[in-house]
Amino acid sequence: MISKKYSAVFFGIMMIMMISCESWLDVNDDPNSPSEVSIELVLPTGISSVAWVVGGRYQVLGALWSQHWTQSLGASQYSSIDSYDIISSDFDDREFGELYSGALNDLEFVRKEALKQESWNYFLIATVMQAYTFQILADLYGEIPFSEALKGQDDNITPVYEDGQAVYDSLISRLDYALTRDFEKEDLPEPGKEDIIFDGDMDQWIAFANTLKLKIFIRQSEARPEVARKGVEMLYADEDIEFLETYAVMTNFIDEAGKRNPLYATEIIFLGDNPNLVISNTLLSFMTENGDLDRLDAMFNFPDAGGGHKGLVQGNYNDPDEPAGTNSNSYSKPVFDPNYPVFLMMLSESLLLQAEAIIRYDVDSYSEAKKKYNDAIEASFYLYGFSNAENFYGPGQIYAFPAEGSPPERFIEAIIVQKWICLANFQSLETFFEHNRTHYPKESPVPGDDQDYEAGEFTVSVNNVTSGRFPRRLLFPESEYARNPNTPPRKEVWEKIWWDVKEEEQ
Amino acid sequence: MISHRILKLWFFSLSLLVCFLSFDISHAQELTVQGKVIAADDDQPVPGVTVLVKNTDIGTITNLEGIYTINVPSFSDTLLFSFVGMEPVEIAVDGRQEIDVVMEQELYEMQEVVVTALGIKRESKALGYSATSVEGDDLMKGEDRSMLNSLQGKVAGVNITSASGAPGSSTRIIMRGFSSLGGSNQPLFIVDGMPVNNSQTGSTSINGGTDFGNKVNDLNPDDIESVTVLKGAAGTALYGSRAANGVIVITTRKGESTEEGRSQITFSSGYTMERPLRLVKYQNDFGQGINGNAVAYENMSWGPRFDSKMRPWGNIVDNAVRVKPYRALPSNVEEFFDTGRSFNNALSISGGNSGTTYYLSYSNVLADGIFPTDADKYNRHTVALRSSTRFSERLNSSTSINYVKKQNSYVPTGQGEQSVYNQIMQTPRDISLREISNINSKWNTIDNYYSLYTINPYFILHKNGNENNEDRVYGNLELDYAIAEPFSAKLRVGADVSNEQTKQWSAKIDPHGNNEFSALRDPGNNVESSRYRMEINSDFILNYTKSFGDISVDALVGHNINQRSYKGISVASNDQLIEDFPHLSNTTQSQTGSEYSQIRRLTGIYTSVNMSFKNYLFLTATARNDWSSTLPEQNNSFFYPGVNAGFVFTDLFPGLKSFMPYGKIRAGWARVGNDAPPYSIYSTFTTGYHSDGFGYLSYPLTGGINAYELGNQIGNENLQPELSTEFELGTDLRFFANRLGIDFTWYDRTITDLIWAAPIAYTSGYGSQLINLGEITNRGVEALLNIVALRTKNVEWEFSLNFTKNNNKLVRLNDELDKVVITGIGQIQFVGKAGRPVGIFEGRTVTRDDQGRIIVDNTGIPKPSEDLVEYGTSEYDYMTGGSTRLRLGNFSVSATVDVRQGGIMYSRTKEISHWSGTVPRTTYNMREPFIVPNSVYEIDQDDNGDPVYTENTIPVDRAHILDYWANGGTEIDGISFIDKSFIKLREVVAMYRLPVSWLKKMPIESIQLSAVGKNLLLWTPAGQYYIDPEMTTFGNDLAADFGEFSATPAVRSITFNLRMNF
Repeated sequence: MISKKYSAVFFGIMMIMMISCESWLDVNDDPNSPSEVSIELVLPTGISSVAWVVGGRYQVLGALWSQHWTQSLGASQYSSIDSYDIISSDFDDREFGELYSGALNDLEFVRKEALKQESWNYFLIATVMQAYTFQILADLYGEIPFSEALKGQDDNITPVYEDGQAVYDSLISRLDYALTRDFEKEDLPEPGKEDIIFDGDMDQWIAFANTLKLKIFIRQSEARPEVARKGVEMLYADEDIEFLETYAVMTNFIDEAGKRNPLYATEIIFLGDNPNLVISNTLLSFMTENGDLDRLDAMFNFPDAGGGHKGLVQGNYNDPDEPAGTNSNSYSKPVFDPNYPVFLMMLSESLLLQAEAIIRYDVDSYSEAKKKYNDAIEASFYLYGFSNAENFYGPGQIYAFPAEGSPPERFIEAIIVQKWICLANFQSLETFFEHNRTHYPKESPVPGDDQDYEAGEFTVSVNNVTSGRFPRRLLFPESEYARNPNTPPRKEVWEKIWWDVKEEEQ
Repeated sequence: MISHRILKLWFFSLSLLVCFLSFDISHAQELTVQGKVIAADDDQPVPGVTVLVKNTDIGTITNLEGIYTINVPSFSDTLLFSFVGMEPVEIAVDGRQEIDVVMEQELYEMQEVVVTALGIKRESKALGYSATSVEGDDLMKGEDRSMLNSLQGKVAGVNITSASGAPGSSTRIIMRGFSSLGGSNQPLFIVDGMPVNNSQTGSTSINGGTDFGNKVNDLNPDDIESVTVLKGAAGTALYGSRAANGVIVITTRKGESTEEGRSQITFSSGYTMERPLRLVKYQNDFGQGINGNAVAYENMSWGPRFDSKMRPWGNIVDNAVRVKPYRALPSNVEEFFDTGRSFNNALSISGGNSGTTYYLSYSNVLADGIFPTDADKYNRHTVALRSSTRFSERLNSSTSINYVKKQNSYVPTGQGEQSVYNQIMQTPRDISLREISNINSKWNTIDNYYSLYTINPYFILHKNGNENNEDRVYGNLELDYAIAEPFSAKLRVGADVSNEQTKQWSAKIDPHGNNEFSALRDPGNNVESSRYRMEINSDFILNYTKSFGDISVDALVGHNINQRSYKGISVASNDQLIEDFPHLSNTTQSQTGSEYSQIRRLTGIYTSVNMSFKNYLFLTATARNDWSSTLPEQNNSFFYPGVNAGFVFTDLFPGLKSFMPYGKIRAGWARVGNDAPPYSIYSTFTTGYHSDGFGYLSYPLTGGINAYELGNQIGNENLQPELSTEFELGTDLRFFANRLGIDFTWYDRTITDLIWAAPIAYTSGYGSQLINLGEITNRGVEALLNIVALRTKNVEWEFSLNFTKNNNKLVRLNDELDKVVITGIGQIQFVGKAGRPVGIFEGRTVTRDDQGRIIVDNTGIPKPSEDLVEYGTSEYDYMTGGSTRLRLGNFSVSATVDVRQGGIMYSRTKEISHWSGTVPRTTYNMREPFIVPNSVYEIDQDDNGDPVYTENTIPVDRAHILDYWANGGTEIDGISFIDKSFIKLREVVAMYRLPVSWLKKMPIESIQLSAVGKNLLLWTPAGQYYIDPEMTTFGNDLAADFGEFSATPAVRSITFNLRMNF
């Protein structure tokens, strides 16, 4: 009978439909994102995340507060930074968040896995990169989550804050632990191109680690002089110690969308030919007065509107004397290039740190200190393609190292001011920290347009909202206040970091 | 009045039915009765009336002259006359051989049939929950190309908004408030029993947003027979986890069997013209410039006052400059817009015989919106084929196949150089947009365009573009098998497959010459993307129907399988080398690509038992268990029961019927579970990517280095489904011979275990964690009032009023969170806070000293506060509306009004109008310097370092008046909000049906002419002269309530339509 045939078909289909099993539902593994990845494939993002922030937003912050650059007229992207009008939601997700939940967390994964696998090369790289990053955060905020940080997977989503000193001490011991692993172990995996800083050259990582330790000790020169001295002495006690003799630098940038140098990607491509950042009169006046014009021309473009170099007094972005419609094109803008590398540590920095260590703690001879100092200037000139540095640091020249036996402060001033020049445009945040530690370049008692103004002295931003005080820190991020009850009470932007204790020179 | 042609149709179909029914009539001793049935209102014969001998299955129907003949067996003495739309008549034969009957028109169809869950048709009186049906004819009279827009103002308890005036843009529908923070709040759409995709295609980017529409608007409205809106869980629970936000059940037109297999042809054609409904109201006192000075390259209206003197404007090109009088052009923006035009055509042919039926339709929409050029267009073609076949006495099948071809182009919204409207809103009040329309004129090129800060909008219209192409097939196959009384079975298998190809391109912008220093530079780009979506669904249902004396039982068990999959691929090249050649190969760089795929599966079993007692007491129990692939294995099974009851008390107490012909109370309680988004339970790695919100770095890096980073979200292997529990009570009362009807519903819905990606401290190494948290309640009332003011033979006047009030409340979050941020712009946040409705706006306000005086800075401008204050909620206080219909013979007019009261939204249109100085408010004090009233500034600090304030003497001068308004004046972020209240004349329809007598000699059954006005009038509160507050550019879910970011203006339209039946 016909209906029986139909009903057979009907129930056949029905039975097929009724079949259901657990495996049919097992389709919830994300096909778009892997769930397991080796440490070789994570390391590069850990490093580039640091480079992206340090060479991008933190460079802008550092350059505005180190008075290398200032906010231009006719635009206002950075006027709140340049007037020290910092609120807690500034430098939050994109910087603080990127570093903790991006860089540090990726590096933590590499560290933990490498430790498990006793893959010491990777362990050292990740540890150094983490220490480098943690120090920057500790120096910007004073207190940061450290030993309880990065434990979200272990159910700690509200890490406690630790003071900077404790972080510093832990960083030294972490670096020491990583440096004392058995690098001679057989079949130790060797990093290759995924080490986007030194291309797998572990000697450079050891040198970078040592230089980082040196930087950590010297940063405490004022706050904990004995800790700093002992630390430096310990380093120099090792006769085979190597400090960084090259650049710790990420160079993997080309002129294509998503592959460009971070400053170029944002200031030129996104914001449209950099309408915001122009040279600060503080830097311009110093370089002009000292005839340091080759480097000046290499670092800054002449104004698009024509004429010689022109700078703006720090923070004078509402200059009422300028005609309406004046914009950044009337001023010298920093040179941004899609291919420019991001420097984590320039050779000059390493050399100047060594020079300061020798001078402060007498761990080597005056001539060695002088050599490091001169080499640092040489390196900076060379970076821009010039070989006439000796015309500046040679005997009797404008940047000459102070004579043996000069008052110690003169050496420190010379070293830090040179660091301020050598690191300009690339590592400005470091010079901001060094300024706060040493107060060099000096802070001017008069405004930048005063006739008594001395070239190169810091002038407080014309539009400052801090009653004339310089900025010394960032405020704890709003996201932390919203999500982490352990966040310390709010601070003001002028409140000093723990190592910033030097008395004002009278 | 029911037209004779439709009556004829009824006649044929009912004859057929009666043929079947009459199969086994036994020829006992009988009396032949005949007579004529006429209608009370017009004394015309009524064909097609069913005449039944009571308590038998003997019956017939009246012929075209209204005449019937029936043989009445001796054991029965009563005839029942029934006809849809008329009151049934019961007459004792008393041995008479001729009985004429007068039938009264029934005001409300008590036996109204509603399509409920799973496509089951039930009498509305049997329902224990609120279900609103809108008939296709009612839906179609507005002649809207969007089925959803046609529903606007017609259903209580439902908030339907169209996102913009752009053709083909999406329509959002929210029922009974928001139920989910992170998941979907959109209802489930069912077409002929099969769930269909309603995803939106587009981008909510503020730097060039697009909206290619939501997929339910692909439906051809002419194909729709009825739409049933099931709002509460009691009515929707059987649909499973996707029904938590309500269900819209769409039943399409089918072919009908006629005796001689005759075809019915319907043709309709319409032409629509559109103009902007609401443009910003502009000031006409000040023109181009800044700080009170005339500046030739400015995009602002902060220049000097108009003086009508001849002045040069724009750039000097080839030593020549244009000159014009310096005065306001009050309609420069309005005249920029074209009249949008749209053709809608639909043709259908249907018919059938006793074995098969068919319905075949084709429709098209060819629309070009209000922007000049065809950069905003919408072309849609649909083909539908439905057929049913009766294989045997027991086995029936029906199939439905629909094909949609859609092409649309959308002019991007938002800021930056992609958005046209953004450039328009920054046009100084004295500059004519028509003057810049020729982009080849030397004055108007990218190099010489007058403004340094904006792009010629005509350049964007001509040189940039996009096109979204969709091909979509959806349909189903249904088999019905009558196993053996009382069992029957149904199998329904369906699929919805769509493929969309989107091409987007933007031209290179590299100004030289006069605009050398423009910051607006763009390398151009080409993006080609495709999105493939597929949904397969199957239901197997076993039915049981039986009566036991006064009790009848209708029960079912069913099994459902559902799979939804998606695959998207996008390739981009990030510059343009050759002008006007939008192709991926047209680049100096390597192309970048991305892919995303997703699959989710769900299986469920369900049961429903309906019991009725004496046809006045109805009880329904439902239960469903789902297993979802998106939940952790141990939690992936969830069960939810429901129960509802309806009681027609007027049937129990017939004495009430004299003043209340019909009265019913109903109550329902049900639960619905809602699963998680796919791939949210495990942590994963993602391809390396860093961004500062502007530029970005993406892997692979140059040098052959690729890398992955730890995902920013911690997975949750203990995730639970969201659970929604709803209780509703309602009543349906009719008074005064059905001239007054009241339908009232009260509901209380609680949703717990909300799935939310809770932000966690970055210092944990992650940004968010998916958790279950909190509780949302929606409590509200929906009321519908129907009034028949007048009813005579030729005149009818009806009113319908609806009222909805929903109280949404985010009852609690969890211990760690005091608020969740849904979305935001700058310092303005759209948040959920415990104890408040979902969707609270927060932003900065002015800072005040301890005496409440406003603190200003050294330019006299109020300082923004660091903390955020609450500005209000996006929730309406209430929604109401009404419609009226007046029929005079063959002519009828109807109007629908929508009213929304309360709530606020973010409006970038308002914000930028203050920034660019184009709105009347910015002429405050004729832009002369003024001191902010009751303000102070800081002069010093006391010993504690606390500021000391003194009375403010710094006026806001001309050089800072722009900053004052750009900063938000004394409102700061508050300046960006507008009141969402409005009254809208949503629809006015004038319709004329040609008298049948005129058509007698033509092969045409009916001709109907109509004129439809949509959105003819809009009233908003005083001071809200910026936008139509329904506009949004933030998608079609919860975030859409945030507001608009330079949305395309809404439109008003007029349509002329011709509809013919053959």
